[in-house]
Amino acid sequence: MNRRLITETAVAAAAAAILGMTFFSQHPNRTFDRFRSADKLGFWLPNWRFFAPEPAQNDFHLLHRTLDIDENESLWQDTYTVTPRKASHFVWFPDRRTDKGLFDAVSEVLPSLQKGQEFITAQPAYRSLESFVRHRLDSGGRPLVGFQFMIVSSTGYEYLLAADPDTAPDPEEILISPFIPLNTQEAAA
Amino acid sequence: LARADLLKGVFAPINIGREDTLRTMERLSAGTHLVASAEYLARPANTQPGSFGDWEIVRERYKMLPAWRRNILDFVSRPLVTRTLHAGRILAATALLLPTDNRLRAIANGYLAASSAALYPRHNLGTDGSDQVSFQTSAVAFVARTTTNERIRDAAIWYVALQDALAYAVSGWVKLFGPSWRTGTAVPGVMRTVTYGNKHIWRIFKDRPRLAQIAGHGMLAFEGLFPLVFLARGRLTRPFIAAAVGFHSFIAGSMGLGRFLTAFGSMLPAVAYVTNRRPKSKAVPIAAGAAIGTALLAGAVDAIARNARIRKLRTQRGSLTTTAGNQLYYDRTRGLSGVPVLILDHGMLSTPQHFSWLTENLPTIDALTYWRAGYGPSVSATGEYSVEEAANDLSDLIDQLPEDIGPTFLCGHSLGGLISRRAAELTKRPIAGVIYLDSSHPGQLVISEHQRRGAAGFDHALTGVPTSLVLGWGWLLRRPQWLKDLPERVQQVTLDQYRNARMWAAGAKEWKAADRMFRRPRNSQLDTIDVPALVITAENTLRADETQDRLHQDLADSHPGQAHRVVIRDADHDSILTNRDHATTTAAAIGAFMREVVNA
Repeated sequence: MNRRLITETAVAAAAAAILGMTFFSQHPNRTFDRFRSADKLGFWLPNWRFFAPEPAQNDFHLLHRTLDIDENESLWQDTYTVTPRKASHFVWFPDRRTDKGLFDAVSEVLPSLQKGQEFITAQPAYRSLESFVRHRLDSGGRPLVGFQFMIVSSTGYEYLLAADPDTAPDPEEILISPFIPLNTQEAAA
Repeated sequence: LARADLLKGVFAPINIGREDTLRTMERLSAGTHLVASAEYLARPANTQPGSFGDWEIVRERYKMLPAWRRNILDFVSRPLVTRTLHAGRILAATALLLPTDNRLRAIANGYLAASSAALYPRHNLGTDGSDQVSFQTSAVAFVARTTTNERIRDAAIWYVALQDALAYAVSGWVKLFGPSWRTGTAVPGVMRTVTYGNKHIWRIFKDRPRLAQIAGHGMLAFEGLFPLVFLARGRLTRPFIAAAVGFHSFIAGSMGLGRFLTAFGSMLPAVAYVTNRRPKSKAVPIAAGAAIGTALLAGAVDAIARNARIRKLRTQRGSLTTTAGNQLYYDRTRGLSGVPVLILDHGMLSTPQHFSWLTENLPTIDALTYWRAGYGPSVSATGEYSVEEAANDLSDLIDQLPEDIGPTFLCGHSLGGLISRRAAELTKRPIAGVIYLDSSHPGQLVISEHQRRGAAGFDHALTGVPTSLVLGWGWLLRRPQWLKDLPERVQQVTLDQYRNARMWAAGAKEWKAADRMFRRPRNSQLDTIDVPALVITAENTLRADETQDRLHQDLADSHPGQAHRVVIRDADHDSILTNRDHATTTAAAIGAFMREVVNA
């Protein structure tokens, strides 16, 4: 076989192998994703199951409350608000990454909810969420001794734009973190 | 005549050449990379502490990588290096947008693909499908640009076209497994979210279910039927490409997914090219078709062989036909007269082999393990399941054991606990004791909110599994984590059962039956059973759900004055059996309980 033919065959074989792996990594049930363990960084083996089999039909919200040095407990407040749609998002949407980051982190924590607090709090996604909240605390001038955060799922505009809020489906609590103490330096800040 | 011409135009192949295909692909992909990198540069805070790109936290995800790869990731994830790489990506993308020569285009594509790969882990939380697609097209364009061999360039373009068709087809067909897509509520469901929706479009759809259904099903039809583009000699290329552009434009505007328009758009020129009969090589579609076909066939053969291995488990084993007509197969470790017998009943979606460490650590007793009807080699006569029938089967099994066996104990894990408990009431034989191994409780879904939530996701987890396994997709099931913890001698036979449809079909039916029972409202306490009991709880079960303590105490209280409770430290619901150390501790507790009862 000449060199040219060998190269052509090798390229076709490599392309066929990746296409085959892609084909066999799209089962509606992710237990069948055996090949995905070959893609440790998760970028070269495409996942084409966009919004499938079930699309996300809820928004995730992050809320937190704080405890200050005088033991005053704040009310639950929104930590972050997802960016509402604008026409410019067609071409330019830099805040999408944070919105999607929140979505990804919560989606990653969800399957471990059954496994208990110790397991959940050790997850990198949980740690990302905790750090995200930690950096958005507003002490209102008083040194804080700690905080707690909560992930809530809502029906989006169905809830936000409801004519009668009493009839709108209530947001559902997904996870409440344990109380997270702040060290003295952070408290002073 | 004008109408005929128009139709001819709509259904004519797109006459695009190889170089133009590559250039269009590169330019649209470059547009995606350029916007993505500019967006990252516009938000430098997104890599700082307190962002989802805080590398100090994100890097923990890659602990399993070898040190040299982690070092590379650590380096590119330094904020300054990340910014520099993004600035370089904007330059490379610009080079591809301009009419540059082949060499520069090869370098630019190579840089974009390599930097995508290097930065992807760093931006892990927040990446999306457009990043995956733009990596694919840049990597492929790089391969095409490094050669003048037309057949290799055609192979590269074919690869992109097939990935594109796969993307639409998978997205469409997998949606058919989602109830909201089938019923037509998915589009308003997505549109109501602030994250991916649009309040104006949501308002249009929310009170018009028929319109929402047409939109959803239209989307499924377009996506699912996209591969037809290859069958009509290019006559369907224009309609499908027009539909794709319309589809992505709508998504870009309504869902804020603008980068998806250029990312997926970059794959469409490849579809136009391969359907216009100009490519010189069809090596990739032929090789990919052969690879997938062979794998499907090999999977089916593998499934048949696995089924045969499971049937073979029927030889050299005890068996009986129960009153219900079910055929059960069982093993005894000793089978000697007078020796205490421990009858072990496995959990749902589990195997008798899960008890291997346990029985190995109880060498002086006669341990009996069996497959419930429908599991492994055991056969269910009707295919119907109920806890009552399973308990009757177990009771029949106990009743037919030889007269000279020693004191008989029943031990069940999870759902097996409930079955053992009921069998203790049904059997004609005296039962010396009942052992609950992190057992279910008949009222668990009524009493425990935690269990209710877990149950809600369970149906979904079983969707399509038995059918896929019958079709021969078992080899694609990931090896479960607990498998490698079991003794090596039982790993293969356990994996065979795990990758066989029977276990999943039986488990799914048992789950339905158990779910009905668990949800039945109950006011009264459990019936009392006048035999000693040992209630063993995995510590993590208690940690995850504090009501479990009450549920297990309830089981203990149903054996008034005769029950002990033991908690296995650090064990979870499965590792109480599958982890060697936990199973050894569990076996010691069971052994002590049996001795105490026998000697009393």
